Amino acid sequence: MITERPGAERLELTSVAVRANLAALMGLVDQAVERERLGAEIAGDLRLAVEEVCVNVIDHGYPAGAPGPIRLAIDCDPDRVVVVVADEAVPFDPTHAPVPDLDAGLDERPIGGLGWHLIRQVMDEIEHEVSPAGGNVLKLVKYRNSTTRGTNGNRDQGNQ
Amino acid sequence: MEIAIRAISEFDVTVIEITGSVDSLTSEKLIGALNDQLEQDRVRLVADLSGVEYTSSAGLRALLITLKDARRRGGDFRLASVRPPVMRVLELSGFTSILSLFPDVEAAVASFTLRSA
Repeated sequence: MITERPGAERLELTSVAVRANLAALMGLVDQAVERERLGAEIAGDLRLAVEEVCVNVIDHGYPAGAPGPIRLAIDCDPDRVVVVVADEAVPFDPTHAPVPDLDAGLDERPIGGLGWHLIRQVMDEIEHEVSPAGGNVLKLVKYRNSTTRGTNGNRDQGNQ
Repeated sequence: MEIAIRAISEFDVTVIEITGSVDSLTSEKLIGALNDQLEQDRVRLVADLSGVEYTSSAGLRALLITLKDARRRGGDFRLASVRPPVMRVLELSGFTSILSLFPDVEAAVASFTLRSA
């Protein structure tokens, strides 16, 4: 269970899950990076994970032409960054996302299908819950110092 | 994201210079620009990625679509000057085994004369 620690500084944005709002959602990551002075590698990993998660909700979460809400929250404390993405879309457990074959030859490579793989690779902890209302709550943790990584969870949690 | 295209007639190679982020907001523009080259029978392509610091799976999609199409047409799509953050995403996705990467544009362009494509 990924808990939100008291004292963490929260940035939060709720918007409609459409492509036109992706830049604003990504802007929240930029705010966190700037305010917390996060290093380039952590910043890149956070941008990648948040983009992939938000695009999944935008493109696949809701029926075509009937988008619902997406809420992005970013909590930073001295040890870690916790990203929460909540929606009211059809429940989808990312641990059920297929694992791509990274050794496949060019002809066998499908176009797409790498988003969840990348999220699992760049984040330290992933936790999915179905909210009481029926949507998804996805929590992603990135440790700010690699030496504290793994003390509170399993890096491969998202793969299980 | 900005795209600049220059033909190097000596080697019959087209260099696509990309600057900025290749992400879900920009990848369709890149796919379109690369496809335009292939449609004009310019099938020996080099992407100069020296100005790209960020890509997501949307960028990988653009690379893979172009690579498959270029090879199908008897050409190739090769990458030059890949920056460390982009290299990391390529490596995490197993793309370094299917794409040819070169340290700079000159080496990528010259590679077309050394190997048939």
